[in-house]
Amino acid sequence: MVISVAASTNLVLALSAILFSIGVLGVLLRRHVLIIYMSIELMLNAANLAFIAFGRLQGTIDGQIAVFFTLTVAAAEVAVGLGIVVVVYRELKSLDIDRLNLLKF
Amino acid sequence: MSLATLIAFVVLAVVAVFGGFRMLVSRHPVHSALYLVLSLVATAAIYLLLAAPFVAVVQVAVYAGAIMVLFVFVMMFLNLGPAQDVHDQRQRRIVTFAAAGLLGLLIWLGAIWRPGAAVTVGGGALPGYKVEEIGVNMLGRYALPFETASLLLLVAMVGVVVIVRPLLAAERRQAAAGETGATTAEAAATAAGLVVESTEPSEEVGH
Repeated sequence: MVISVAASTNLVLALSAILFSIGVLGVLLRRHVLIIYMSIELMLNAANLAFIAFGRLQGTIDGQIAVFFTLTVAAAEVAVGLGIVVVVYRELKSLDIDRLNLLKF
Repeated sequence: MSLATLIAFVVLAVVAVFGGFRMLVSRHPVHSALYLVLSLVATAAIYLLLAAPFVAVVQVAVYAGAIMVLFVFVMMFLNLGPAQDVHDQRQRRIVTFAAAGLLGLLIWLGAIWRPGAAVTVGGGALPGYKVEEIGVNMLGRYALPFETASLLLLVAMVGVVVIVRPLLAAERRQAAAGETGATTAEAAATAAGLVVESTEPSEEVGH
């Protein structure tokens, strides 16, 4: 039994969509800053999976190269984000996003 | 994709989704991080099945290695306890789950919708695929995005230093105040200096 490339790509894209939805749920449901960051990482990872699946479908290497740029962006985002988290924790002694309301009237 | 590959893919996909879901529902951030590592490693194994071995190795080294170690390091550094947030209203949670499920379905439908011959379908596993190709393409056709990525990392590094510097300066002054605290008069003078000086770095960042 051999499954065509297009059909297997659709399976991989389904997994990618599921992982992305879990990331969206994490951002919407959780209140902890670090868990929200990890959900964003999961969404970036789902996007990487879709990149690789499409690159394989087209038979080119471009999808895999796009993944490296996503990785770079993820690394930069985590570095800046965790720096902000450390500063916020020193100020508020809490990482609950409901308490980060200084910009609210 | 042969049957064996399909079975391997389904098993790895279940592991990846399980890891992601446990990351979502875990109360303790460290548990979330470890389950996310599980999900990322399962995804790396799926990359191997999809003829992307180099990306799989980079995924394990950078994502599951460096980035997640950074997360766990910050958790240990701040000495965080369990999160206090898992009790939400039931109705709201159901609506959120439904919305996210709908979003996932839409993403999948949008991704598998390929009208006409807009996409040229290649021969499955990349023909003649070599790791060198990634390097040659990265420094050839993709040289400009490659350099832009390096600039992004530089900006991120400088940005983190600027964000964290007021904190470091305050700590250094506290340490200095602690060292010179032999006589109470000296300590009071240093404390007064600390109050005056502490407005400077925050102003610097503000502008």
